[in-house]
Amino acid sequence: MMMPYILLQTIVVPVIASLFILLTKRKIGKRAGWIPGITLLYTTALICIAGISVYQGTIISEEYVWGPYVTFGLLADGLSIPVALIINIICAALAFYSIHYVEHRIAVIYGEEDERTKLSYYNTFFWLYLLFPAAFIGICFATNLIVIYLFMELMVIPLYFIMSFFGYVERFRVAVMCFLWGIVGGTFVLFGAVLVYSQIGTFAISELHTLAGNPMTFWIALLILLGVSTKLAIFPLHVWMPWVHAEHPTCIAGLLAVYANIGAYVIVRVLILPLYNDLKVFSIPIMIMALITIVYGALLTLAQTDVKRLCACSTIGQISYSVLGLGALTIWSIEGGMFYFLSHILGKAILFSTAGIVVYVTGIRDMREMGGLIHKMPIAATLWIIAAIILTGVPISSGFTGKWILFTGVFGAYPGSAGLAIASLGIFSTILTAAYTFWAAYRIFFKGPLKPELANNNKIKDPPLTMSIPLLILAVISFIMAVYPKPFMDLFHSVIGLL
Amino acid sequence: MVIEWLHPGLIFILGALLIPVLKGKWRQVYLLLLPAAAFIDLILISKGVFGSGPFWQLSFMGYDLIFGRVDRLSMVFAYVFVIASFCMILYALHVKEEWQHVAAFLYVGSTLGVVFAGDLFVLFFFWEIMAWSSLFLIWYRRTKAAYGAGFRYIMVHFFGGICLLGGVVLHLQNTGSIAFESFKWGLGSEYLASYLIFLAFIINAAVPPLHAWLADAYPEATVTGAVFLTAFTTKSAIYVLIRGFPGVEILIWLGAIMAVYGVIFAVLENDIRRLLAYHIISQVGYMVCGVGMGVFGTAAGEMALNGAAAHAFCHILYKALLFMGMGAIIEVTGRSKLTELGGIYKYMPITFWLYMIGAFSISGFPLFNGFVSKTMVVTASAMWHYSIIWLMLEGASIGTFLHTGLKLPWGAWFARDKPVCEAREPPKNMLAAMGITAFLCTLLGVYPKILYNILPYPVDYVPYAPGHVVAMCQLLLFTFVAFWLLRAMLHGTPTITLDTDWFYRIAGKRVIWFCEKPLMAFASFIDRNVMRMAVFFVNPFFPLVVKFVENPLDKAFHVRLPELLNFEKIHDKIKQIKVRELSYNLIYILLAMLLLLLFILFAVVME
Amino acid sequence: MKITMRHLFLMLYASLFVSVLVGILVHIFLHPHAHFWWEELPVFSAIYGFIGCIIIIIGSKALGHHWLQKEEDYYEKH
Repeated sequence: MMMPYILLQTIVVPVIASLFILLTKRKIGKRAGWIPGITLLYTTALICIAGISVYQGTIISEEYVWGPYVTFGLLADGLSIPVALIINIICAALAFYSIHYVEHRIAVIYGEEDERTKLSYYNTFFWLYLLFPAAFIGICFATNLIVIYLFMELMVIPLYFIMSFFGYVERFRVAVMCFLWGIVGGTFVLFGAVLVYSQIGTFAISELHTLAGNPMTFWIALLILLGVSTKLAIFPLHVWMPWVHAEHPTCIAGLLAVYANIGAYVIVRVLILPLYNDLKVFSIPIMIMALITIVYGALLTLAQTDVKRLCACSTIGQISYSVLGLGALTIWSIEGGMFYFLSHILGKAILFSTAGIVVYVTGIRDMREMGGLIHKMPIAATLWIIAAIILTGVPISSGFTGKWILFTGVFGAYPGSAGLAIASLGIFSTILTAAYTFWAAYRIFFKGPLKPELANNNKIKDPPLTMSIPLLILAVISFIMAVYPKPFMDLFHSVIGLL
Repeated sequence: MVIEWLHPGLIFILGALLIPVLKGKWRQVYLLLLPAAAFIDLILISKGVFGSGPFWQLSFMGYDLIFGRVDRLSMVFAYVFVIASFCMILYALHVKEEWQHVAAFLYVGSTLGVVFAGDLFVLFFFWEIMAWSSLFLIWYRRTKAAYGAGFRYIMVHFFGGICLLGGVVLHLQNTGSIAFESFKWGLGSEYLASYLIFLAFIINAAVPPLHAWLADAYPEATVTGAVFLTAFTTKSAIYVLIRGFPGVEILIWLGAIMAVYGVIFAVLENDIRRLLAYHIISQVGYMVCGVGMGVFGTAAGEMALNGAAAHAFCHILYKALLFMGMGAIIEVTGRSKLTELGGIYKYMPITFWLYMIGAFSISGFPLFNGFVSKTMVVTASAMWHYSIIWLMLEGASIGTFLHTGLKLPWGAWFARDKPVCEAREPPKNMLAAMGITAFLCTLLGVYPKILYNILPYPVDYVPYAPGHVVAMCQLLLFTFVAFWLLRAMLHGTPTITLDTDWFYRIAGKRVIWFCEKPLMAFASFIDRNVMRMAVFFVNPFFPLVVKFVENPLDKAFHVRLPELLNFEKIHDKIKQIKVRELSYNLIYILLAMLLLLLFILFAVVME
Repeated sequence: MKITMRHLFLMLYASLFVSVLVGILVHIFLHPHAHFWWEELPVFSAIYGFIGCIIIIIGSKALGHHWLQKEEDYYEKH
């Protein structure tokens, strides 16, 4: 029993729901907040169904012909289904989380306006929000380079609007910066795609392997890598990340982490799978840049005092773990890199959303003014510690399984002493992750008694259920991935193992 | 229904899940039932009810995991862990906070997991859980010192975990097998995997210079939590050393140095539990030395390994007793420094005498269990004719008796004319736990056969030879004489002692300073310059555009079509220069990209 | 008869004397196997215990006084 057009639905249904919210703004009122959540639950169910069928061996592929030259294809195989599934679950969870958060944000920014304007902003957020999962899933399932480019760029537009409407400090400037960096990065990918067309006459990903051995392939790979590196925040192209990631409304945080990290998926799909041999020349440079980014990102995070900037800088380092795995170009390391990517977006969504809860409830962003919050917000503290455990890679979290697979691959890539040095440095830098997440937990939740201003503030209490339950569900998923990685690894292996 | 096997660690780990659910007396009964059940499980295993193993083999991601490797070595460690955990749980029975019990049970269970692990993946898994669950036993004390010490503890153990992970992954690369057997040892870079795993093991065994975490963290733990901490981390490290690196010569020297090191530092200590923590290092030195001498196939080697295992067994019991005694003092008086204690013997005599049984055991008095185990290691060093090692180990005995048996009880219970504060005997469960442990210490001392029967190798040693007994008595009695003569020098002083943790404590602060000052300056520098390039570069054409495009346009509109377009209003809105400049910049960038794209397309078409 | 400090000291001296005596006797009559040359001396353990204890106390105190012991808030100040 297969639903018809199952993959197309996962992309189109959120767009339709978004249009629905846009058109019925006045009528629905506050209830518009529930529509994204329910829509995304539906699409998650669809992806699960598709996933089960892929797991049993049938790859789902759909093609929609729009004209003599344009076919729009969607492919769900072992690589795209797990990624799409986890991304969609995160989007669904954050949709429920946003319901309360956006209300607070509007009250803070647009407090003086009248109710109708506030309502219109509220609905604007949600119809913008739905465009994200559509774009993410589109990237996951796309079979055409131009389609990937299109979705990558189209995502930047709702991101710009959400940032400029709902962001924090200097939101217009940061929104413009985000827009520009996104467009520039995407343009490099476009140039690479155009070069591909010039060589083989088609944009289809399935035909990319015919480029192997072509002298232009080096330039194509370089252009696409540069473009994606801007998104992945590799040093020195990382400067937008602390700004954008810190000043955005925190309900988008998990989505931004996905937006940045999905570049890893693009690299695997577009470069590593078809053009493996041509990529070998990039392997050591990628690994070295990833290593520099990991260490730099971690050290930068240690220096932060603003809780949202701390999470933002931490993303820089964590993304580079996936890149390190991809750079090592062995089967285990690529699968480990992808697994770590999924684990990272889960953990980062929880961490950031908890930071958002703390900022939302206390109104303070500087960690030096917090302390002892565990007395009033035990659930938030637990969530932060769970996220810290996932990101650090303690056993029983998906981070541990991901780290194990990743480093098994990375250590095996270059048996000489240079390779061992890179791998050892990579593995020792995980201690910095433990240092900053737990030190931050200490500064926010455990240090000393509550400051007097905080102790007397009655509004400081645990977040409402719509905010904490989605995050707990994400934590449970990470736990399941940790103890039962077999479905994910089998799915990855069916595609990557062919290398 | 025949169960294939029941992992004793699983009883603790799964049992821990039910602890928050039960309340009051039911919980207390349940807490004591679990180790009892595990003990029965162990007896059944050793009787061969389940067969001989290995049990619970599992295939996971292409590796063969073995959860239940049962042989004499793992059984002897499992026995002592379970027996000791019963006494420790009894000691902690009065603690109301259920999560402390959960942490303790997870800690015990994961240690049993390490002991029965037959392959490196399972070992690593339980190794990490041990570190993290024991961390909470420190943090639950909730003092600022405890938070800091716990953080340093987990950083050191995380580092050890990373070394283990790296070493295991490398070992997998080199040999392709994940089974946990003894590792190849030698000099050269191809042994890097063994070095990394060795490093991880000796961190947990608290070998100097990597031992500072023990003296830093154990005194800051909760009163009941510290008792748990003394047994499991360090002794499971000894177990894995016996498995992985028996007969490695450097361990002999490390062990002997450890034994003396702990004793020297203990002289200077003021905090009563920190002094005992240094003695853990000293006694573990005996075990490490024994592992180092444990070359397979030689009589001296077997004696050494037996000695290491036996000493671990006895040490867990008497060290728990010592920490229980000191913990009782802290519980009752709230003070933990020698400078603040003294003269309370008349309030707590029973605690004193039970503590002294532990002190006699650790010193190796005949009739107590230290005598039957410590002397095995010393005899092994004699059989190998390592004279310096023998002298160091015997010398450490002197120091041990000096501190644990003389200085510490003297300073805590006597040493002043008037008692320094009100005191009383600790709660009944603590006394009962101390009593049971003291009984076990004496039992093994008087009847060592019970212990010798479960040691890994056949025991060809008679502890109660007259020569040994007399030598020991002389050693200890004359130590007492020297102590009595110099007792004025041994009062506590209100100081702390620097140890190798100085390096990472001060270095840690330097790293944070580095991140905050130079690194942030560098980051801001990059930020500013890249941002300037990306968004806010100064536009050289802006004034020209204003002069030649905007102003004529403006004039044209206003002059020619004044009513058509209210350009003024729009103009007002975008009058801010920054916005205009920004939009022009955007337009330029987009134009440039479009041109480049057209150029490439053109080139492609021309191809 | 009450046990006083004097009694305790008498018992101590007696046990010291007995241990040395028994040591010598055991050495003469039983010839225990000695691994090292110093074990041939009957009162070696007594001397080693006494001297060793004094060395440990004095040596460690010197080490602490001149180098390792610091005031209690050392780590907060630095």
